[in-house]
Amino acid sequence: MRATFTRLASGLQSHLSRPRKGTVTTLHAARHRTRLLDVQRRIRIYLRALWNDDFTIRQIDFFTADEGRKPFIDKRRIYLPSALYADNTEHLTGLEIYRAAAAHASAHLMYSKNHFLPKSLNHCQIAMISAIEDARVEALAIRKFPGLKQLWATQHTATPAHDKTASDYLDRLARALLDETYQDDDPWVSQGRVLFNSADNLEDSHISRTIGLKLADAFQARRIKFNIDTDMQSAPYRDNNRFLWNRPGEALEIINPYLRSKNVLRTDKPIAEPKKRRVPAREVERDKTSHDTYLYPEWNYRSQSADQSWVTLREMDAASGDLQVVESIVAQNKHLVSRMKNLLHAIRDGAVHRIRKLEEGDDIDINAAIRAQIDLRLGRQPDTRIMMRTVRKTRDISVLVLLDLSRSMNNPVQGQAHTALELTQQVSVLFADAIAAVGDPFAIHGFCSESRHNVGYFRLKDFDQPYDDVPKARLAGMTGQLGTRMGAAIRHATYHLNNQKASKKLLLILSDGEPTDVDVPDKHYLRDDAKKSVEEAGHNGIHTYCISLDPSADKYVSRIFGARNYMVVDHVRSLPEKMLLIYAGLTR
Amino acid sequence: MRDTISQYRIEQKPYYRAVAKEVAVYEAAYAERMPMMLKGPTGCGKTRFIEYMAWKLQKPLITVACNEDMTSSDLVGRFLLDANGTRWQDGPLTIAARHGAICYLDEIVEARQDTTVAIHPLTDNRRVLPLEKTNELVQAHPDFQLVISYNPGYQSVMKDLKQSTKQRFGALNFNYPQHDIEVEIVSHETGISAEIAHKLVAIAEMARHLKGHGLDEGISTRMLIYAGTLIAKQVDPLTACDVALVTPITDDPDMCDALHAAVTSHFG
Ligand SMILES: Nc1ncnc2c1ncn2[C@@H]1O[C@H](COP(=O)(O)OP(=O)(O)OP(=O)(O)O)[C@@H](O)[C@H]1O
Ligand SMILES: [Mg+2]
Repeated sequence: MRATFTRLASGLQSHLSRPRKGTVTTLHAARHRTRLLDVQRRIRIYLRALWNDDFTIRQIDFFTADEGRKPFIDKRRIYLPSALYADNTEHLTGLEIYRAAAAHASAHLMYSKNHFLPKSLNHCQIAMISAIEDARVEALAIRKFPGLKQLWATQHTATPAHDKTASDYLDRLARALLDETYQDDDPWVSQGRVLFNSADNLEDSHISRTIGLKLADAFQARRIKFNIDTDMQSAPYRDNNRFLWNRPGEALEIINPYLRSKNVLRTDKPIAEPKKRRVPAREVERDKTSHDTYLYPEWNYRSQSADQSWVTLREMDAASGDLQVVESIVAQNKHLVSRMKNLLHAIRDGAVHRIRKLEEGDDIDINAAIRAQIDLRLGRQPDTRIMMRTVRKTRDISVLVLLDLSRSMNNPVQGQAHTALELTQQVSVLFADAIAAVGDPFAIHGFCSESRHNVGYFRLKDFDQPYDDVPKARLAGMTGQLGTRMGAAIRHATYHLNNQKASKKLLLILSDGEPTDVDVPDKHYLRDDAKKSVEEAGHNGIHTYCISLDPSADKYVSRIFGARNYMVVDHVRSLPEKMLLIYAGLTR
Repeated sequence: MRDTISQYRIEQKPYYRAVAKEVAVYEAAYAERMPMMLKGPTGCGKTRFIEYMAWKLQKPLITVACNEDMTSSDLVGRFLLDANGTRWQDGPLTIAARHGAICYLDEIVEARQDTTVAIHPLTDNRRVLPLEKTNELVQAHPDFQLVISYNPGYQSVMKDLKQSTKQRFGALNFNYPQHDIEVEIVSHETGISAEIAHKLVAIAEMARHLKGHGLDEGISTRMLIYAGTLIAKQVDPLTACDVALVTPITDDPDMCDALHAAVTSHFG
């Protein structure tokens, strides 16, 4: 407790006194602030475009002291400062610095495959080797993406006038190795250039060590003092290079990767994490009296057969929450709701109409017939489509929205400020609001599970139930807990949809990830069962579609639902619209 | 009647760069008059391929772009009124079947299913086309072949071909060509240097990494040809890429920004 307090206090202090020399976060009246939160998504897309791979971008802990605010890499995660300050000149916007930092870090992840051993090296040698390694991975990346040179080069500002400290020289070396147009006649800098440019194989990371050691020797002859705490490269986009010296598998101490002062406490635990409520099995059991219990088979891919009556599913009362939650979601997204309603109305208004211009129909379209007669008399080619038909095309569709209410939904959506559960809640509220206005039958159900003996199924809103305060309160009260036994839930949803008379049935699943449960260590098992349950739904005339909230989920989601039957949505704004696209596609 | 069909002949050899064994496979399929399905994303060369094959086999080619308002009359034919009464006019499918053309139904999934079934009797070994209205049973000409194209994009869940339709066709998979081949195509079609074409293709490949991650479709060969054409007209490459590649493909501002940055990583 005391320890936590000290840590908080020191963190807060360092945060408040943030403007300091030599860091990118130096506050200046004319400087613009860019928040990582606002640009994270575009950076992530950018990295994916570059490398065809997903990188996780994290924000550096708020409480990390200044010196630790340089970008850093841990395992495959790239940590960037939560905000950057920059004069918004053409190339030095906060976004460009973030982009440069992400590109540099990703270049390390792609090309810095061998880690260096710090044994028997001094700080100066370590810094030099790191600087050469930086240049090496950048050169490799530039080979593939020539434009990156410009992106990085604009952020180097060292000149021959910087000639005091070791970090001045490090900066000049870094600039010289990146940018051949940079003029610097210093013998040491030139030596670095020559050594680097004559290296015969840039793909070999040993050259970083060899060249770095040579340069460190030459540098130490100059008798410029090397200070580990201050002598680091100052280009804002470069990471602290700790990653290079960590053996794979060896966890970094994330809290403060570079600060070496005494008052920082090391702790493995994040500071303020809310306790998540777990529903004990007993509680689940007690509820079962209120509703029915169902037994479902489960598909076992190892035996390639279904285990009958394997899963016990219980319908349980959904908890109610504060109606206010629902109202504020609607209030905050008024424009979205009205757009959705319009869209749905448009679909419906087209449903009862006359089809004109038919060659064969039930009635003569008198206007068209007259036009054809006139054309005939004039000796022109008439339009023969003079019949019409009146169709009462009631849009005949039932939609069941099935919500994954497992514990993982409490995690934030990658690159967003809200959790998957919050996103799910918003989407289901907006969706319900719009559909209710149009009058199609729809239901919203949810599920979570704790082993095959305990799958909980919640009917938040039923088909024949009006969308009033009762279901709204349940939407407000949704929580995420326990596991994701998706197959059983899909089977039960199929059962409910089978009781519907509509000619078209859509089962829409909102989930953040793959099926998991406590009693199944084999991930493939539940995945395969879920896939099976989707096929079964199909045989029952039900279209199943998945909206996945996890951007990295596509591999198994497409395996479960089929390549055409899912979309990954990581952005709250586009979600309702996409949901309607699916709906409109079905009801067309 | 000779005239009706001769307008569908392809006189000039179309430029087509073979990507794999598709030319030989198609020739074998044609020898058997096997109905074919060309699968692949938009703008990857399906139409160009069939034009080339029609030229190579010296057969007329009748192309129909399908849409959802299309009825079977639009394919098969209809009665027209004229001053003396009514006159039957063959639709494109009937013309192709009578006179021995290759009939290419582009984007067949767009057509409604009741329209699609009109092709069924032509695709099994009867090779006939019943014209209900005229009470005629058209026996397909020995040269006639049916080809459809199909984009298995994941967007249109509910638009899919019926199994009973799909299973009547042999299928060739098309995709964006391999890097070097695509470079060759782009520089051939636009006249830009291989070096610039290489950059355009590399940009397209970056965008193709984003399919399903915010983009519904990757940048196609066709778009690259647009970009290359602009560059050949002295538009500077950054602007050309924005106009022809980035702006058309997405409305999402984050995606635009990331794609633009991807472009500058090659033309920066
Ligand atoms: N293998 C190829 N050889 C020559 N040109 C090609 C090839 N692939 C693509 N192209 C070029 O790409 C352009 C677009 O191709 P095409 O029109 O055939 O696309 P498509 O696959 O039919 O698209 P859609 O599904 O939208 O009709 C062509 O005009 C041609 O210039
Ligand atoms: Mg680095």
